[in-house]
Amino acid sequence: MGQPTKLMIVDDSSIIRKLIQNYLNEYNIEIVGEAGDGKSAVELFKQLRPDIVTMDIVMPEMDGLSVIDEIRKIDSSIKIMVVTALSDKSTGIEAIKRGAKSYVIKPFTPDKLKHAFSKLLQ
Amino acid sequence: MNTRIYYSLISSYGNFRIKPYLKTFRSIYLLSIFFAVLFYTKSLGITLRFDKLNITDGLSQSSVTAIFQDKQGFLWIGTQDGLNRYDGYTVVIYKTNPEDPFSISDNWITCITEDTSGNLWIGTAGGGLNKFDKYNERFTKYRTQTDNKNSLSADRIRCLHVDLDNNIWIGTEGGGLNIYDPERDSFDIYLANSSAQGGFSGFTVVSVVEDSKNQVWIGTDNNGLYSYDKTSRKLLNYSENFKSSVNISMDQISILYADFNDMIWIGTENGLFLLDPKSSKLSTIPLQKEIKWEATKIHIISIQRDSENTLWIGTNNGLFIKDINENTFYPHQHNPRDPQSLSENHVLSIIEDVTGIIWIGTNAGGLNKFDRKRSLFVHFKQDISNPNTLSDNNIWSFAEDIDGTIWIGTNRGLNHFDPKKKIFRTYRSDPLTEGGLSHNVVRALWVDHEGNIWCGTDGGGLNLLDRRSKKITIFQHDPENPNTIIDNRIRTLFEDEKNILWIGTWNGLNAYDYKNDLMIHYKHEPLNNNSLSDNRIRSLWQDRKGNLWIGTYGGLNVLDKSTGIFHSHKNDPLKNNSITNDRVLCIYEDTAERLWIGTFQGLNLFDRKNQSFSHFTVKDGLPNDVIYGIVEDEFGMLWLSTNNGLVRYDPGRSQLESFKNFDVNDGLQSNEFNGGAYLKSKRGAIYFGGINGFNQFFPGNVRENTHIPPVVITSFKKFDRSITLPQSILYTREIHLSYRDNFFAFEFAALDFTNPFKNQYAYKLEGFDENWIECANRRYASYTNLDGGEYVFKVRGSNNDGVWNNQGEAIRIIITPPFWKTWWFRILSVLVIIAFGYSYYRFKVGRIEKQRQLLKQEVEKSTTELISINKRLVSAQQKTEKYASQSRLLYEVGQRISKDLDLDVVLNNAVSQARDAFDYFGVMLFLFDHEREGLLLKSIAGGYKDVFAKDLFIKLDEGMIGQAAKSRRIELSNDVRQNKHYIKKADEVTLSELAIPIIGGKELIGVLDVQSDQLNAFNNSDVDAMETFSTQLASAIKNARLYEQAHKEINERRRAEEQLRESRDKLTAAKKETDTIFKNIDEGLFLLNSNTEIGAQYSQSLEVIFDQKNLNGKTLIKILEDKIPANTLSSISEYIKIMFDDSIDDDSLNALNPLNEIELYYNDEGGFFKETRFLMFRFKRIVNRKGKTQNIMVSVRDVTAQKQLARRLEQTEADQKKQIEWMLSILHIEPSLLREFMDGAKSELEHISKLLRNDTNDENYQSLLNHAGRSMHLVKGNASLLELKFFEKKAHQFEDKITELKQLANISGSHFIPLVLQLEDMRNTVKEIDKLIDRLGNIHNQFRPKREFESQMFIKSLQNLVTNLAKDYDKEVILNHDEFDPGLIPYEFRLKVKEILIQLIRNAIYHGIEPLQQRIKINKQPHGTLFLKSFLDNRKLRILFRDDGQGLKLDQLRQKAKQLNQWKSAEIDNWNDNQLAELIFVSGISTAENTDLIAGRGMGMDAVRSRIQRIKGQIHLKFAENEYCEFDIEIPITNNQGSIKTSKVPIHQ
Repeated sequence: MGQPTKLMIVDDSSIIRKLIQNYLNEYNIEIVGEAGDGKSAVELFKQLRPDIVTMDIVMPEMDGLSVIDEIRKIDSSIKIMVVTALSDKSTGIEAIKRGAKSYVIKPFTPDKLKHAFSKLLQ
Repeated sequence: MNTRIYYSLISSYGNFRIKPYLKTFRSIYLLSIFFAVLFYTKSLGITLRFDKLNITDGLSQSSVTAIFQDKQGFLWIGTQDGLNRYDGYTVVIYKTNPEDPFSISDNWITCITEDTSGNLWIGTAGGGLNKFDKYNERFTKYRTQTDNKNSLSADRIRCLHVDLDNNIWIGTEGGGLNIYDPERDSFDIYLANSSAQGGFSGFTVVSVVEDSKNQVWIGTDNNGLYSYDKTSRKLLNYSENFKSSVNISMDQISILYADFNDMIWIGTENGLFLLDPKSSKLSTIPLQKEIKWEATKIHIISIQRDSENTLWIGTNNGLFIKDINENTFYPHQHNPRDPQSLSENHVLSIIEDVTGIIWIGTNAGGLNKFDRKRSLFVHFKQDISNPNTLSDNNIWSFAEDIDGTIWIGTNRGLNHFDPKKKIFRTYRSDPLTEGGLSHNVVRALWVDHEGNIWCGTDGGGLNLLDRRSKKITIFQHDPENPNTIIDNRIRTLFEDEKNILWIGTWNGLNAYDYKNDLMIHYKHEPLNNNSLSDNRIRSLWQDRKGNLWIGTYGGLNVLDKSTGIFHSHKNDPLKNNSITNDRVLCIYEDTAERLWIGTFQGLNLFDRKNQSFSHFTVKDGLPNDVIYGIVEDEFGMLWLSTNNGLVRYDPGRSQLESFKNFDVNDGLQSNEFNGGAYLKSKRGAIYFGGINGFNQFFPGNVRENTHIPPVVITSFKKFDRSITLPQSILYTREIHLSYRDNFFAFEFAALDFTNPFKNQYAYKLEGFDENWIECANRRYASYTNLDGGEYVFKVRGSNNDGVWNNQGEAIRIIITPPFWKTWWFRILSVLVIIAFGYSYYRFKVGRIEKQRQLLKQEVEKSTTELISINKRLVSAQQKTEKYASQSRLLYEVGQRISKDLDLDVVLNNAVSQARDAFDYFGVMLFLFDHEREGLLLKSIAGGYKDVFAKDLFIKLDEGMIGQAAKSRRIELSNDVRQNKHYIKKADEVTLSELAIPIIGGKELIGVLDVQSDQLNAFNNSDVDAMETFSTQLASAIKNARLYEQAHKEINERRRAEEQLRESRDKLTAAKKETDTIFKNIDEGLFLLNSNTEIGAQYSQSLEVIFDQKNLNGKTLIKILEDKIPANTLSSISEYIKIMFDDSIDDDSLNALNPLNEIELYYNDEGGFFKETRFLMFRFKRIVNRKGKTQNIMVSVRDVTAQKQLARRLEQTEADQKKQIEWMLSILHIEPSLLREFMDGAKSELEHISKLLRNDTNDENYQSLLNHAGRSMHLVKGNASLLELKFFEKKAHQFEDKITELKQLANISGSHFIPLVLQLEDMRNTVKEIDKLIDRLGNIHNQFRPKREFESQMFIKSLQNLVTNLAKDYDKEVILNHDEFDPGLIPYEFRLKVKEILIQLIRNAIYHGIEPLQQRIKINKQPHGTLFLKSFLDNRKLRILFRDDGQGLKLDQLRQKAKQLNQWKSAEIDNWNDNQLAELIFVSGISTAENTDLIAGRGMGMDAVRSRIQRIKGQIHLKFAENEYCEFDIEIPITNNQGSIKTSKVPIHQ
């Protein structure tokens, strides 16, 4: 086992945050931080500099798209996995356009999440 | 006490109670004879079953007059119309053909034989004699020639015999006996005289046989028996000897047969005789004791003793068979009911072939084949026409009686079988009479130690047939009584040594101590591991240790009887050594105490020590995995019955050989057997029952076929057509073919007729096939496209039991190659190919071409050099006489080596030729190795050939050789001992040495070294010659190297070309495939490149789906552009871009697919909307080798139909939901009220509709809106009253729209459209509710109220309204209706009055009654009161309505009036109180601050007034601010409404 991958989870639902954590704990990862809104996500990101961020789109304070912009300004190579309940695909496409690498729709199955995550790890 | 029913039996034992099937002794007797013959020949231990060969199998005719097996093994079958050769599969027919001089002379064959040279002799019925030369396949005819005394004496041939001297004995009809000597080619005639006419007349000789003492016996058909002694050459009339001793004439002989002990059997038209030549004793042999043969006149036609010493007599009335040890003949005849009986009773010929098969030719019935090897199993089945057979063919159980008889349980009754007499008796249950079995399905049988028969039935419990009392006792389950059997469905029975009967049922196990009538039950207990594992018992077995094994459908159990504990074994998929299956069908412990278990999935062998199971299944050679029964025979073999035949398993043999399978072809009743139905009798007979009767057999009678079959190649075909070879294929050893015959095939046969379809074959074409091809029972081999050359085709074959003829047969095949495969063509084509490949690749391999040119030039250059050197040499030769001849040699060597291009050959030749030419002691050639920087020995001749290592290496400055190389100068020493460079590499004798560097251009190639064992061996001329030679070598080496290089390049190029062509072919094929797919699939399939352009390859459906042609090169966005809204389009284009971003994974992309299911709008050519389609897009990235997305494969499907269907479904569901909602709202409403509401709503909506259609010609939109609003408000009020929420909502929405419109400055007609639509919707709703009500009509009618009830409802609904409204506005209001009688209101006004009252109540509660707090503040009663009163006043109905609220707020009314802008402000100021009060009847005035559903639109009182006006009434208003407000309504009543009064009923709650 090498260095654990540093993961930050951004989602306004603590249940979803917990869920993501549970589903992914079989990987060699370290959950470095969790954020429940966009603004604190950006703040936390600055301090923690994780390797991968899971990102909700609809959040209080600052929406996920803007967060993506902000954190990509800080670290353009950051791997972002969008985890959203949004059924509006154009927003998803927009997120990808802005640099997200993966897109998972809520509600998700463990397999789906893991599959996307392991793709991201590669 | 168990349930016992006693029955008395009618007849004595053996007939417990049987139906009187057998009426007389006589009939029993006859039947037993009949069945003995049909099924079983007692003495032979065989069943006579015949396979048939007839015209349907290819036989030329159905009367088989002669049968003969030749030395090769073919069966020759003579008929009345043609000669047939049979190889077990096919029949080859020989017939006469007038155009073929080598065809047979006559089609009616009478006899066939073979001489010692292998020629067949065939006698015919009119065409004389034929000799068939099998080698050339030609018939030679021998016929009567009137002018030749030594020709055949008659053309009708009756019999043939070949003696040891190869003379052919020919019996003729009317021409006596002919003896043909092939050497002399002449016929000698006996028993006939030449007639005056030139022919012969004499006896008819029907049979000629020769005994072991070379005595020939000749039978005639009218003159008795003759004998011929070959040594004395005497012909004797033998009949004379015993003419007197036999009282029956045996003159009319038809057949003779010499037995192994030289007894002569004589078959005549009058019967059979046996002659003992030693004693000259003749005896008559009666064929059947019972039937007097003279009377029936049995004509003996054929006699044959087989290798088992059974005598077969063929007659005109069937077969008679006799074993050597028996005295009686057993007859066998055709039985129309038995297809396996003899095909015809008139037997013409009998032979036994080399495998012991008996062939019987019949008149018009073809050929019959009897094989003792395959007649092991006796088959007993039901014959419906004969009651003395099995009662049913479905056999379930067997038990052997103490007297050796067999009890058989079937699906319809119990059978008692006497194996000696073959008689069956049946016991059945009979519902009509008392007695008999309790049930007909007998699943289990047991004969106990006293000989009583226990009979387990499937549903009828247990039956005990008592041996002594002849009574049947029935044991059945009684739920009340635990001492009865556990279940009536019995499957298996077993009695142990303590006389406990174990009864396995379908629902548990019993142990029955029948002596003491004690019953113990065992059942599966879910919580008890020590109980039975399952209740469905199938088998019981007690092993020698006394353990009881119980097979269930849920595992194998073993019961420890001392403890009562069951231990179970079940299949465990995780354990290799667990039992294969939980359904245990049978259990058997063999004599070696091995425990065998048959299951639904194979045979198991239980290892008690390790508690593990070994498995035997289909994989191991079993024909089927369902093992029904296991029986061990006296040879230690296990017999297993399955669902696919019987198996004999030899546990002692290796796996491969241990199973022998028998099927229905071997005489089994069927391939399907039944569980429980198996038995080995004390006599060793084994019984297995199945679905079509049962088989009985003695395992000792099993015979294997040990015959090694001859293998013959029967046909050779080119292009699927038989070809005529110079001689018969059977004798052909070599076939020449041209390369054009590139498709040929062989057919072959192993000549064993036992079961030809189980014969196996293997073949090999040597020179082509590397291994033998095992082709099982396929008997042909074909080859295509063989190269020219020599091959040997070999074939081997086996018989049905796998006995192989490994010798087999072989034919050499020589194929002449085509001209293009001859050597000269090959060379030519190599050149052409090189030339072609050259030009083809020139543009690609320009560089190589250039190099080649250079090479060529260099080759030319060095050749020129060589030539000039040679020229110099010639001049040198002229100068030096001494070395003239050597120089010539050198020249020749030079020429030769420079021509040769293979480097190794060049060097070896050069060195040895140089040594030979100059007779040096030794010559060595070293080549310079660039990598190792030194010299490597390449060639060596003479001298140290075996002294130096083959890979001798010399450093650049080592010794003289190294020096020569380094300095590139000649090193010469005529005394090496003096040379400082010289070193010894081995034990050398060199005294002189000459080392010459070989230089090519500027490059050091190697060193040529010459050595001598003499001092002063080399002079100048040697140096010159060797120097020249080394120059030649340099050129030769260079040439050879260049050649090698060129050769290599050419080869590489050819290989590349080959690969290119292969991949091009593959591409072409692949393209063809995709083209087909693209043409035919419904889906749109295409590729997108990174510019989102559609590729050239797309499926044709795509054009249909996109409604566009020529899509190649168009972008997907462009195509979708006019079909999709712009914002969607942009995200699609983004999406496609993202797809080429390889960092995004496929799942994310799929989740984002905006085209997953998209609605597209198609326009027609004119740009007008045509239709909507739903398309479903799927994207798949095509990734190149580097993992980069290069293209996207897109599939698109038109899912419009599905989508529309889904939408319709949704709509229907919504409609249904709506209807249910309505129905629920309607259901709680009192029907008359509902009806009332509906009528009102309909007329109001109609009214509004009229207004809106402008039927009223009202030009003022404002007033139109007011009218419509008023009407709708009423409807709303009613709906609210009835709590029809959905309708109330619709009405409210309508009102909202009206309010909206009213606020518009300029109203035009088009503004009304939404109103019209809304109205239409409401009218439809009303209609639908109407329908709904109709549907509910019946229910409603039941509740149709009486008038008084209606009145009650009237008040109740008003009261509800009050309650609801009060609640809504948080007010306390009561309605006082003590003086109100709705009965006074004429029916037709009632709805109107109600509407008016509703509105008044509404206004009163909303506007009038103050909130609670306020009322308390102003010292009013906390609850407001509404007072309602009705009375008749002078033909008028008066209704008073009063509330105790705040009265009218005149100031507010005045303000509103001003806002309306209808009157001048000053005018309003001048209005008195009454005038102001009037305002409340004006539309648009409302004192409520907020508009809601109930009030506040100023649309209430004006409606009330207009309503009252419509019924020609009046309304008056009285009020006092903060005290009350009263409305007085007057409605005129006409006379005809007077009746209402009489119906007045006081109303009380």
